[in-house]
Amino acid sequence: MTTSHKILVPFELPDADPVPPVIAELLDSIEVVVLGHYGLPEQTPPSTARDQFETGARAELETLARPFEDTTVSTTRLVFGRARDKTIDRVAVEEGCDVILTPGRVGAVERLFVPLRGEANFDRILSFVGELLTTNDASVTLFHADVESDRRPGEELLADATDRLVEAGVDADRIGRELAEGADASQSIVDIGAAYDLMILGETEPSLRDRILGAVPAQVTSDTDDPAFVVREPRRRGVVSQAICATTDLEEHR
Amino acid sequence: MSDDLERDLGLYATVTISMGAMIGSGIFVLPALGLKKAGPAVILAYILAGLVVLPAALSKAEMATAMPESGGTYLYIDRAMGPLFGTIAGIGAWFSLVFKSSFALVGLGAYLLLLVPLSGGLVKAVALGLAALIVVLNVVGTEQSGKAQSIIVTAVVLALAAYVINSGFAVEPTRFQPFVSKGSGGIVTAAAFVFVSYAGVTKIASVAEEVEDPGRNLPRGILISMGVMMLLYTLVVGAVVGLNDAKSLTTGGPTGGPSLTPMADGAAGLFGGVGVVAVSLVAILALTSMANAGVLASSRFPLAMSRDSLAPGRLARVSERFKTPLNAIALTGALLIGLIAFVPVVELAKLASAFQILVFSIINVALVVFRESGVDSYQPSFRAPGYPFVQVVGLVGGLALLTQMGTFPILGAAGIIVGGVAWYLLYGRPRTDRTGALGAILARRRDEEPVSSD
Repeated sequence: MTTSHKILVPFELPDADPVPPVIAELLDSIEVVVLGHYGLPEQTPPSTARDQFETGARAELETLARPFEDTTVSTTRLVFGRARDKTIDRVAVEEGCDVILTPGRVGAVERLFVPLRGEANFDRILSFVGELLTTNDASVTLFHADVESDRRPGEELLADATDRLVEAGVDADRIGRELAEGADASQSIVDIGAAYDLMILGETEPSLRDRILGAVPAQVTSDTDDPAFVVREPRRRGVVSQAICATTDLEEHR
Repeated sequence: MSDDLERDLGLYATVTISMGAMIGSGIFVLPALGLKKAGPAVILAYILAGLVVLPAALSKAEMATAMPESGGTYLYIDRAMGPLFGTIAGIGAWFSLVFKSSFALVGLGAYLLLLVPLSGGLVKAVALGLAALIVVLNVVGTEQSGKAQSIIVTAVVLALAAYVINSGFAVEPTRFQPFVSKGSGGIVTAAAFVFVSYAGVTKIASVAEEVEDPGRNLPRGILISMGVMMLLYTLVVGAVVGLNDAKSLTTGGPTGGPSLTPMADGAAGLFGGVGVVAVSLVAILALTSMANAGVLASSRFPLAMSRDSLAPGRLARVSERFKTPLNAIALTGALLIGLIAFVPVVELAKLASAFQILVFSIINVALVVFRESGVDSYQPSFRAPGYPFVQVVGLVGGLALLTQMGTFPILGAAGIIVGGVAWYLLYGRPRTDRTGALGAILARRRDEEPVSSD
């Protein structure tokens, strides 16, 4: 019954941080797309940098991809450019990835943290968590921060989520629940999430607020040292470009 | 392995990018210089200059959609007309942009000194310091700042609008009399000098591949941004002329030359000291952004030529440490600093315009060459309207302006051509065998010609 997932693992070249081995192990049955993004200042045309640095960058990317089983890495891509986030977004769309790994350090994966916001991406997040937990015996905490506008009480949401995981074959005593009230959603996620090893959260629809302040997952993942999986709807090309109109990668006037 | 770009720039973004690249020394520094040449009719000169830039902008935009590799003026002309013209255009465009940046920096220095109580004689020293700073910034490398750019554009446009609206109450109509005080020749000369005010419109070409629905948005973006800027320039220059005593504008600058801070001169009468500070801040913002973009963009010319074997290979070398093309930036920076130190300000502006007009004229020819060559690889997704009349107007108009600029700028333009040819013969020719689309046309001619006499 599981949806099949595909994970994008981006690396910030050169001198990228490797993915912790425990995370790579976790993914040994899930398809992985490895993306090397070679960051450039705006002074440097990507084609020139590619000519000069491609060999080295490719070798580094190969080393970085080694912890993943060869069978799970379906594609490796190397992009030279300036707009890192935009490139990650574009490659995720092109390769049909519905989960993006954001980097972080972790020694062992024993406690997962899954904040749930509402219906958005609900099925997909839980299906992914279910898949992770079948290859691993970690415990998981489902979390929800209640806000007034919720159409559905947090209790019910978390109960439903628990049922999904049990259906997916996760033992019920591995699943914990936590409900917070009021407060700033992204801040409480970071505070509570700090006690866990790994976070799995959904990407929200970009609202006007997100465009100005940055989407909640971006705030969360930049404030935490833990690695995180950001789960999103696999989108078609073109839809996504409207969501990221704020970041454009421009060639300079000459 | 593709790293193609997404088409995510709408019409509005296209217009802002273009306007951002246009606003700078053209409006903050040049009006007084133009006034000296044309009298109050300098207002018409701004419109005339815009009309002559337009064809080149349309031509460049079409070529940009046909050549998705990030290129620019040099690349289009080289691919159309071969490495000889490519060399001339590359050097010309490089010089033009460096001259323009150095002029912007001198203007920037002049506005800065309005805020700090220092002697006017320090303009050059301040400009040199700023130039060194900008070169270092570019060597170390800067992050993309699209947002900052659009904020600057909005701030500057709002400030200019406020300036115009307020000046409506203080303008003295008598200052526009006699309007055409220097004859119509004066207008053409002034138009040639303020030509750089619109050069930024061709920045649309460098983002053409990111514009959605290019067939619709490219021409509209060009026309709208040009239209808005023509209107804005007309009103602002009108305000500057109306607010100031003509004599103080044309002789108020360093060593008795034209004022380099005409906007602030007007603001003093309008809002008092606060006005001078506000206008100076806006000018500093716009001119810094222009000088920085100028250094960044101009360093691409030696780099691109180096990649095509028209300049030494190490100019295309990217520094391991900074990840920037250090040598190309250093060469550009050295030219920039040398120009500020040794070339008189007004000549900087004239030469920048002369080189720009030269390059823009060739751009129009390059488009004609591509269209006529029928090379298969040329498949633009946007086709410039009014071909070939628009291009002919652009070429003839450009050359006409060039001839009105006086001896020194004409000699400068001729020097670029001669220097370009010499450099090509000495350096480029033994190393290249490209012929460009022009080569395809010539080859076809040869085949078609009936074998005559022998």
